[in-house]
Amino acid sequence: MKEALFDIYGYCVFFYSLLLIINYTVLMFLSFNSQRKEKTFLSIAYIKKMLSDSPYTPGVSIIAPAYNEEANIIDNVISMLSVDYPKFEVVIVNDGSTDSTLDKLIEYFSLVEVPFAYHESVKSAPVRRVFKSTKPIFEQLTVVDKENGGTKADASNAGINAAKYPYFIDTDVDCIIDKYALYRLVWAVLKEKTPVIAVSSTMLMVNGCKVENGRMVEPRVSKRPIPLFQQVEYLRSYLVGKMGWSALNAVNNVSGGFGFFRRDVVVAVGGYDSSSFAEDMDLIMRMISYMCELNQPYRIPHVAETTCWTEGPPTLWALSKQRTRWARGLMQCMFVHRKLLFNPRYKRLGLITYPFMFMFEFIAPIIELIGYISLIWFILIGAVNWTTFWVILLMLYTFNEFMLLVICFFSYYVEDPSNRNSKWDYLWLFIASLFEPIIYHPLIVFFSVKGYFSFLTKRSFKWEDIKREGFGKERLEEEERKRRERENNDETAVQPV
Amino acid sequence: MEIDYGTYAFKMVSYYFWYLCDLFVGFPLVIQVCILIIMLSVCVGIYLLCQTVYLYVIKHKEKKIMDKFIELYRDPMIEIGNDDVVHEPDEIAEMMNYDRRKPFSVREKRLLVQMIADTKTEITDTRTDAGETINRTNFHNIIMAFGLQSFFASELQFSRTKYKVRALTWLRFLEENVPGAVITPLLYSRNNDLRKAAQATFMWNSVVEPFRFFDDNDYDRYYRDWDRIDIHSILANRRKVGLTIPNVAHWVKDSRNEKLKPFFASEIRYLGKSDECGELFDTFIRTSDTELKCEIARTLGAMKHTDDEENLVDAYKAQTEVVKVAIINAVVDMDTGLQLDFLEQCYDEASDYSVKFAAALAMHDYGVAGRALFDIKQRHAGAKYRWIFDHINDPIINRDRERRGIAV
Repeated sequence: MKEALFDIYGYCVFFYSLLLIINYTVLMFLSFNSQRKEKTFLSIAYIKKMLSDSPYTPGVSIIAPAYNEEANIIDNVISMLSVDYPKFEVVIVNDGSTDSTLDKLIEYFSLVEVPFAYHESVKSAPVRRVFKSTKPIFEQLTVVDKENGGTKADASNAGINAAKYPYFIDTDVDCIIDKYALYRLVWAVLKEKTPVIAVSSTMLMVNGCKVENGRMVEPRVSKRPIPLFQQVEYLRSYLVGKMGWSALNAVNNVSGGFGFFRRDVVVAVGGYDSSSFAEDMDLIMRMISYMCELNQPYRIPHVAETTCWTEGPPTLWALSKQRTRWARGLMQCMFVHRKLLFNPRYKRLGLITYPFMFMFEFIAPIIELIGYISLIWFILIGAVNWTTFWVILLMLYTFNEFMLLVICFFSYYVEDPSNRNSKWDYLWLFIASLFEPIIYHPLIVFFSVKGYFSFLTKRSFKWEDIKREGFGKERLEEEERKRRERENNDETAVQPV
Repeated sequence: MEIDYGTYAFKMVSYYFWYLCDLFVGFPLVIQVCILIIMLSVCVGIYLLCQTVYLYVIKHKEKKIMDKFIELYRDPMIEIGNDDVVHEPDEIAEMMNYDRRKPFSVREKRLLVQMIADTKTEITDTRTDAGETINRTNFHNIIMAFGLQSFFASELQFSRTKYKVRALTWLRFLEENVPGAVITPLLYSRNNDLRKAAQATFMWNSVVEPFRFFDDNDYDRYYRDWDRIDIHSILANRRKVGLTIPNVAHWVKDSRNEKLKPFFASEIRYLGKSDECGELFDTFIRTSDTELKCEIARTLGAMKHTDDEENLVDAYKAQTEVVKVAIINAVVDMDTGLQLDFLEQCYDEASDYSVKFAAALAMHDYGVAGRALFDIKQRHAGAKYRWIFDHINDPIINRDRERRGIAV
């Protein structure tokens, strides 16, 4: 009886893993197909020229909430203002910062308070003041100072209210936006026959990259383990996952770090939910539900080219906090939108995306945790068939490395120079992917389960931002170290014998 | 005896495949499945690795060629493009030290065209900022000097779809021409991108029925927002170079695609075709499409078609909020000075924030009398609406309006 139970359990786990592998394989094919189809025949220079001259070019508002971001704020706002696009504005929402974020903005950009007709289309905490720059060069900048709402969602809502253009980008203040990001995103909207309600795009880690004056100078991978593992994870998630789902028009989430949305639809669904821990996923689900309920066609494409670099949690502690919050948010989303599950009214969302998320994103950490515990138990009682164990492990590793090769191929295939890392960077990614299943992944599983537990036990959760290090700090440290080494060598060389 | 390498390789692969299969016959299902996945991952992985290396080498090579072209030709090209004196192709080839006896390969030609297009954009941007134009004849002669005219024709006839679309956009970009017989087969291609690019290039410079595509339902089926930008640039260019521009008003009325109607309604104002406004109001009354109504109202306003001002005012109350805003703006654009009471009424009766804002702004911009009324309304405005008036009056917020010549 005991052996039969072991067998059943073993087969369940095996077939679950097999299903996961099949899913990823299908997503890879879909992603390739999608990239092949979506790959524009037109050069970015041509798109730029056409959009620059046209009265039909849609305006885009870049919304970036900031809470205690004094370390990066000036660099980041400069980065946003230097985006190349003919019609855009930048709306910075100071979410009741307790540090000198607002003072720095006022001083650097010569801001003055203006009587801005702020209209609350979506709910947010009260707005205290609105600032504009006295310098015409910063004309596109608007700074909204509001009371702290406790969440990024609340601050984003205030930004949506202040935005004037039909499309907006919701981003974080720690993000570096690619110079041509807006052209790429707007092209993704304009080339579609079906109305586009949101656009997802590839986002990578800024840790380890060379950044100057808020501009990406040299995209590199971080040499530190936590950001490096995340880079592998992000590449896989965007180039395989999101791109694959995009082929089916079943993108389940547009990242809160850099998402492009149609403002009228967002306002119609009430903006971000301030009480949600995964406000980005929640918003997309509500937007899709809204379109399905009105029986309106919609599309959410994914742009394969990197449009944004974000600062990933540099330490284990920061990663733990981030992933616990994500897991909490996922569980909350699953619970709030449970009516979608297998509901044909919500089309792809109800029949494909939501069931997939439930099976392979929501339940996966629980199954994996049970797997880890039972593996330890089986080892202790000597019930492990080691041959099978090693073969399964080899299969998982081979598939994992195969996925990395697919990512490398995709990053060359999309013809995006910013996606391409140096040869040595690929080696680092390869090394990271070797250790990812045994070091990084179990940690993520643990943080996810911790998040579920804290949601179920209704533990109080305080929204805290990750401690920022500033752009290119890692690179600067490396250069400083090399400089010191050089100096030491020089000193040694000139020492008298 | 000749060896067929393809068959040989296939036989070798299949031998090892069956050998491995045989090796694992009798093993549990789990092992068999795992081995199958490992084998497939390794085989496809090696293939992808080779492909990635190939792509890497290609890109590297292309970069080197491009760098060489930039080093050799960019500066002379800028000089020739900026020069007011016309240079003949032979002279240009000599100036660039281009040896015509050693023609470039197709890949090199593609990169060269890309470089010429980039250089032309760069010069155009610089000279437009300075209020000057580039020497188009010289640029045409540069194309001739490198023998690229026949290259465009061969790209359109024999290359892959991707290169055909690129060649078509380059033709427009560089203001070049190819024989009609080369483009015609592409005009009804099944590939959407190719067909649209071919039709756009055809409309760009053809003199024989260039806009026939709007009459058949091709544009109706595959109309995208990008097409508005594309068609507008074509129409604007034709007007610039003195070619005929079609009468678009009948498409506002008759097009089978509801999306095309508002586009053509707005084109009337962008092309400044005030003579085509006559029948627009009839369409305004008949249609239920909000976007079309808005565009018609905006066009009537921008074209100062005062004959329909009273009609628009009469129709105001039965419209949605978005259309109401468009009508208010149209009345301000017409600027007859007769509708101040109407604007005041719009402001007083508006329940929607956007309409209230538009009406206040309209009063502000409606001449001296309008400004006086605006001031009165501002004095009487409660705390709820005072923001609107302060916003409209603020010089920093309204910097862009000030630039357009509207006093703040």
